[in-house]
Parts: sequence; C-alpha cells; structure tokens
Amino acid sequence: MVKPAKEIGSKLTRVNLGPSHPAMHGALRVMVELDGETIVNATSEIGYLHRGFEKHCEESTYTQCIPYTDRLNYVSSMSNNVGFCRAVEKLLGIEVPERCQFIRVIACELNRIIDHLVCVGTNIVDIGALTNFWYFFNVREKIYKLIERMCGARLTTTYTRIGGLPWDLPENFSTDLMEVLKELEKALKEVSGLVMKNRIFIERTKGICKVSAEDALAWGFTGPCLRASGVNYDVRKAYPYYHYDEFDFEVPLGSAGDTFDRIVVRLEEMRQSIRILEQALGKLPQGPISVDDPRVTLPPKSEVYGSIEGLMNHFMLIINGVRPPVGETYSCTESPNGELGFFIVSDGTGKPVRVRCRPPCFPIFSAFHEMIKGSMVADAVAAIGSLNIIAGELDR
Amino acid sequence: MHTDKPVDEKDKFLEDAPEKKIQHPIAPWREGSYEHVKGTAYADLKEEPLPVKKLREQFPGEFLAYQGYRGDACVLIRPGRIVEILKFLRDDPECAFDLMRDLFAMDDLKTEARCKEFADAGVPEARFEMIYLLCSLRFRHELRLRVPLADKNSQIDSVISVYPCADWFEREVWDMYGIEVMGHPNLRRLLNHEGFVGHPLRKDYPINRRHNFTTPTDL
Repeated sequence: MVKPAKEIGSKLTRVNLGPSHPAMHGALRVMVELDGETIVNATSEIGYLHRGFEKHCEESTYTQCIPYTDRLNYVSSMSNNVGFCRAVEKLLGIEVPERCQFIRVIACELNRIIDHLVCVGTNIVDIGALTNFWYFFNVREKIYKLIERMCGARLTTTYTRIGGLPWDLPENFSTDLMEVLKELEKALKEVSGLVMKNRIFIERTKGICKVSAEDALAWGFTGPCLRASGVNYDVRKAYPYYHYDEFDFEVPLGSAGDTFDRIVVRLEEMRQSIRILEQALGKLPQGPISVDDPRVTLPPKSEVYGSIEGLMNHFMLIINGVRPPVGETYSCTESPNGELGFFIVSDGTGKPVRVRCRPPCFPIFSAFHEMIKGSMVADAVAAIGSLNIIAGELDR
Repeated sequence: MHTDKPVDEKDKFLEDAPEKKIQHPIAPWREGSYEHVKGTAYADLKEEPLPVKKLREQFPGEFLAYQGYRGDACVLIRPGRIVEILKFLRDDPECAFDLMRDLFAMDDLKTEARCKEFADAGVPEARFEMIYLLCSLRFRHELRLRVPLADKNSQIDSVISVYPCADWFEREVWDMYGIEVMGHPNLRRLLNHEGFVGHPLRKDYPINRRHNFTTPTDL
C-alpha cells in the first residue's frame, strides 16, 4: 500500500505538461501537482496560439474574414467556413439555394469525419496503439484529396462565400466519394476490431476522467464530449439547418462520460456521417450554387470582363464588401467539436463591428483541470486526446 | 513593428493613434432590404417568448427592452441583479436554461445606434455590453441578455456561482475589455500574457500596436 505524500513527510512534485509536447495536441500548458503519480492539483494556461481573430475581423470585410475562420479549427476548416457564412447570411436575411445547402452538408460531414479520424487516431496513439493511426490516416488522406479537388486547398480551404459557394462539385465527385466511404467503413471496422475488445485499451480508458451529465452541462460542454455524458444535444437535431431534419441519422449517446465513451461516440458519429453523406449525394438537387443578388454574390467573370455593370459590381463588392443591415445575430452550427457559434454585429457598413466566435473547445478545456484531479498523468494525456482540444480554435 | 519603449510612452502612442475614418461611397444598387431574395428566412420574432414574459414579470425594475431581430430573442437588462436573474432563468421550471452557451463583451464606442438603443431604454451612459447567451435543452428556448455597462469603472458581478463555465469567459472579458468582474476568484489575463498593457478588443486600441513578451506566467 502506497502512503500519501503527507503521511511520509515528503513534498508534492510540480510538473509541467506542455506547452510543447506531442501528446498535448497543440500548444497548451497544464501545471500539475503530483503525489507520486497521482494528480492532486492542476491548473492550465492557454493563449499560445492567440492571434487576434476577433480584432482582425473588425478591420476586414465580411468576405475577408472567411480565410481567418480556416485557422480556427484547422483540422476541419470547412465547417468553420460554413458556420461563419451561415451567420452572415442570417444577418442578411437570405437563405442559400438548395444545391448549395446540400453541398455544404457534404462538406461539413466530410470534415466531421476527418476531424474524428484525427482525434480518435491520435488519441489511441497516446495510449500506445500506433497501427490504428495508419488505418485512419490512410482514409483521411483520400478525403483530403477529395477536398483538394473541391476547392484547391487541403487545410486552409476558404470553401464558402457569403451567399453560396465559389465552385460547384468537381466531376465524378459522387462516385469517388462513395468509394472513399466504403474504405472508411472498412477502416472503422478494422479499428473497432482492434481496440474495442482490447483489454489494454479498455483498462486505459474505461472509467477514466469521468464527467457526469450535470457537470458537463454546467461546464458548457457541447458536441461529442457532452453526448458521451449522456445528454442528447446536437445542434443538427435541436435547431436543424440545411435540411438536417430530413436526413435519417441518429445521435450516438454515451452513458459514463469517460474517455472510452468519448472515443466510442466519435467512432459512431463517423458511421452516422456516412449515412448522411450517402443520403445527401442521393438527394443532391440541380440548380444554382449562389443566391442571385448582385449585392451579395460576385458576377461571373464573363460579365466582369464584358460589361461595365459587371465590372462595377465586382469592384464595389471587392472594395466595400457585402453590407448587412444594422443589427446583430447569433448563429450556431454543429462543428465536429461541438457547437460552433458566431455572433456578428453590423452597423450597416462593409465591416463588422464585432465578430464573436464561440469555440466549442474553450469551455471544455476550461474544465480540464477539474477533470484530471485524482487521476494519473498518463490518464490525463489519454483524456486530453479524447476531448479533441484544437489550440487554433481555443485561442483564436 | 516592435516597440521597446517604456510603458508610459506606449500609452501616449495609444492616444496619438489617428482615427480611421473612411466614408464608404454608396452605390444605388446596394440600398434597400434583402427581403425580396428568394427563400427569405429568419423573420423577426415579434411576439415575446415565454421566458421573456416571465422575466418581465419577475424583474420589472431590471427589464429594459425586448428585441426579436432575425428570430433571436434578446433582452436588455440592467446590470445590478444579473446573478439573481440568471439564477431565476436557470431554476424556473418553465425557463430551465441549463446551458450557458457563451458570455462575452463588446465595445459600443463607435456604434452610436447601439448606444442609442440603451439610451432609449433608460441607460444613457453605456459604453460596454456584457452579452449572455443561454439555451434550454428541454424546451429549446434560446435567449440573449444584453447588459449595458458604463465607460469608467465598469463592473459586473461574476456569475460563476450560477454557471461554472463563466470562469474562463469572464477572464477573457477582463483580458480583452478591462471590465472588472466582481467576485471572480481568479481574475487574471487569459489569452494575453501577464505583462500586456491595455485591453486589445476595445475600439480605441489600435490594431497595429505590438507588445514584447515580458515575463512568463507563474502558474
């Protein structure tokens, strides 16, 4: 029986986890006080990746803000693009065309899948199993190839525009995506087979860093971390947008709120995303991909070079930008990490007065020091992986 | 542009920063509303939802005004009894706002329209706002509370006792706007380092102002 430090008259040890360590998933610093290997106290520090996103937005036009949103959650940039553009469109009071809505759903679900692949893959690496990582990253690379074909970039996509999309889907996208989805299903099956009955994995994750449903709500958790605690809250179901209420999919729920549940919820969410993607490809309507309004959408290049109205329109939209009416709105979408909200205030000019991003990681990481109290250092590393903390989104 | 000047000179630099005034030329085809655009959504919420009615009944002295712009229920509230109000909204069985989505501030220094909204509602000297976003998982209510704060000595009570997630949000508000959150157990800078001078999201803080990193934080 190991006696606590107090009884044998020894002192507690202070150890820095991070800020720069492969297991910290970004530049995060956690100072822990150890009794032996048990964490007695912890406190965390963030801000290493703070780059003034909100201040920069106040000095940019709405369209210029979209590339900044790529850098929020850089593992799934397209969902940030969609979230921001949806907020501006809500402020404008416009709804994008049907085809654009379905393409945005496809983009969001693809990004949900790659985000969960990275999260679960690296989390299991932290616990000590490397093979799964390669199975997942194989598929992730194929999805990135698709994303590259959609918008020309892999990481910083800037995929959406206010009022629609810059490009339609590439040729043969549906058939290629279906093939990738089949491979994804195979990878999910393989990884589940490797870890779900693996005794080491189960003992490293079950009952580790539990968060009860009440605590999760009080701490402002959203997304898979909240659902792992058994709270049924998914923005796609609670406040449906882009026809999510018409898709047939389920919201996976955990019960214990431990590391194991968070991983399993993410694995299951990828299967549900596959279902949504298949349905979205089936329902994908024909039609325009941007709203038909010269005050919001750039004119086609043929008009810019061929007519004075087109040229003027292009020039004014680039220089002045879209000008939403005076007002404020909050709009939220379900990003892979949870509820990603944008609160935008407009004074009628081309630049926003205030852009507030509600990053899903932020409240989750603010509870981290409470979560890891009483567990081992190695458990803290397993837990932080399962929370999927992305420093770009946390620090903005 | 890194400035190695001492602190007092930096503050002088803040005052000297030129006011940026760009008048946007108005093109005629860009005026008017967007309501004609096909598939227009997000109608204004004219009728007050139930939580707003209850809030008006329960706290008549604190309640300033209601807005339903673009379908978002939004209430202007006096800052004095914010903790009681949030506690009521969380515990009342018909409101049950169990999730605080977000808490942040904004600076209305250069936005006359927003200052006027508060002046019309009876708070003439407002500069900052604290904004609370609440959400009820059971009833799917959403509510936004806007709380006006004065320019000098802006203070507000901490709501950690009602929603623990306010902890870091309030630290961020202090860091970015310099609004003092009373009763916060650990009101330190969050995203900026300890030696940072000023509050960067204030409208009178120039965007191109740089700081040298001074001392690492002792946790």
